[in-house]
Amino acid sequence: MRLGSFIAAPLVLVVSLAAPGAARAESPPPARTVSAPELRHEPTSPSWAPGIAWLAGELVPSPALAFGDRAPSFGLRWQVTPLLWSWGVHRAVSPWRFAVIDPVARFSGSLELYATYDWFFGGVHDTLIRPGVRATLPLVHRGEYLAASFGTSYYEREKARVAWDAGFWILSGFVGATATFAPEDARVRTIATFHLRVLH
Amino acid sequence: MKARLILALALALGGSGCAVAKIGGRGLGSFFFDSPRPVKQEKKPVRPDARLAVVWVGHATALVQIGDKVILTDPVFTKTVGQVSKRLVEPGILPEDLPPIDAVLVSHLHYDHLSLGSLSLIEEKVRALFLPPTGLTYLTDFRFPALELRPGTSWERDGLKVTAVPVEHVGYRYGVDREHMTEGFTGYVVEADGIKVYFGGDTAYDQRLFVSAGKAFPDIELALLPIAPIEPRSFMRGYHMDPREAVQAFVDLGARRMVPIHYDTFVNSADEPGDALRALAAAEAEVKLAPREVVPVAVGERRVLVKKGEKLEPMKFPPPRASSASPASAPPSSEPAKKKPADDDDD
Repeated sequence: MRLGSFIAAPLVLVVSLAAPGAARAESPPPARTVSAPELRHEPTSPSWAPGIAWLAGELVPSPALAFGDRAPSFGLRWQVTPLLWSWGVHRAVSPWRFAVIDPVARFSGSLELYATYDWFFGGVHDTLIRPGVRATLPLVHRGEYLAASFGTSYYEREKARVAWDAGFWILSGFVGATATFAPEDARVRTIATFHLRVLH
Repeated sequence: MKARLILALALALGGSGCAVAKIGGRGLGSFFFDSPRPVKQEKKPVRPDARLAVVWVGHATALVQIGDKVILTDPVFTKTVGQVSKRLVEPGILPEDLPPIDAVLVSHLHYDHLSLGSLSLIEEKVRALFLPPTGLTYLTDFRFPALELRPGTSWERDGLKVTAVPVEHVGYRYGVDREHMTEGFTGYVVEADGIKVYFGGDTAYDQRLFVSAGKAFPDIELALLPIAPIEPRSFMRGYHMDPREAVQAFVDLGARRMVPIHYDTFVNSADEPGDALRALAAAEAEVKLAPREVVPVAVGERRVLVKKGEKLEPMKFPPPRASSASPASAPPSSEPAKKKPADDDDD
């Protein structure tokens, strides 16, 4: 009898594994309710891989006006943001963004490393490549209606120079204006830029 | 002079044949020239003698009381959505008059459903907030607990159960993020005190979804269903139900009552104010709904649908007739459906 049970037990196990339908039929149906703890509800993070919208945003430049000791010059600016850390996103969501920057991550409060390429023609006729760091602070509706930004950047022309910038952003950060000020650069002392920013 | 230029631009856009330009023109015109229509705002939204009551705050925002539980759907109290679309009518409840909210349901991530400014106004009153998948990405960090519910999953606590149910819409917020945000939309069924309430959020018509929701949750006492935007239909059909489709969805769900939502609050379509309710009345007249009833609620109006202690009668509705050709083609009635007066209370 004991030997029979000894043989039968693994057989039952094997049959149960081989016929999951039968095993399921005996077990109670899975509970539909997910009760406490709430942690069982895992957030879903979208994949922020570069796409068409991001590429279009990167390619379309922002118009700029440069002022200095020469005639005001029209220019264009491109920007890339390799890294952004947001302190405003929900605590369950990763605060890090790489290149593809969703608006909420930026306008809800963030610190970003960026690089710009400015191309001026006319009186200034110059190009500037400036890596920098910028903070964005939410002001109205968590930053969605109004956010402010402050930053600094480094560039070289004849010597190493530092520029400072401040700006404001509306419409979920898609539209903004910044003023960049380089006190020691007589040729390009101030740059006013109008931004249309799309995921970058 | 500036105002005249804006008015001319709004009229030009609004009067053109292009639907997008028309919507944009009306939005622009309302933004600069219209003030929200004042309404009688509900100061005491919760009634101790109500088992099921609803106050329409406007658009997809409704305060639902089920016993001692209070649910708020897609809360929007701000003067604009997305900073450009202005409110046409004041909210039916001011944020400061809200009671503690047991569950806030966010159906999807569009500006007129997930309003960060509005959530800031009610942050202290919210006990839990629910979003569709990926919703936390666009929520920002609030003090209240917030959970994503994938359609088919539930949350339950203290006699309140919230289940996300599938609907047909889009998951993005801005448009440029449509490649990334593909899952952010859902409907909900809330259960408490033996009563089920369906909240459709914003959805296109998909009969399979409504019929399956009705089977999974029999005896839905109240369905909050969007009935607009209607026009331009060729564009809206893929995202929004019109009133005829909403009536069909109501029948598909097997619900007892339907409260229409998502109309006449913001400029988001080529519809004129009143279009949606007129089309709803026409759709209602085409089908035999009784003993079901459609209960349009004015902004700021409270309707007590089930009184405390009142027992619910078992629902015995004629089975909905499947319609593949066009929605809202349930058995036609020779007589318009008579509406039962709902329990009103103005105090």
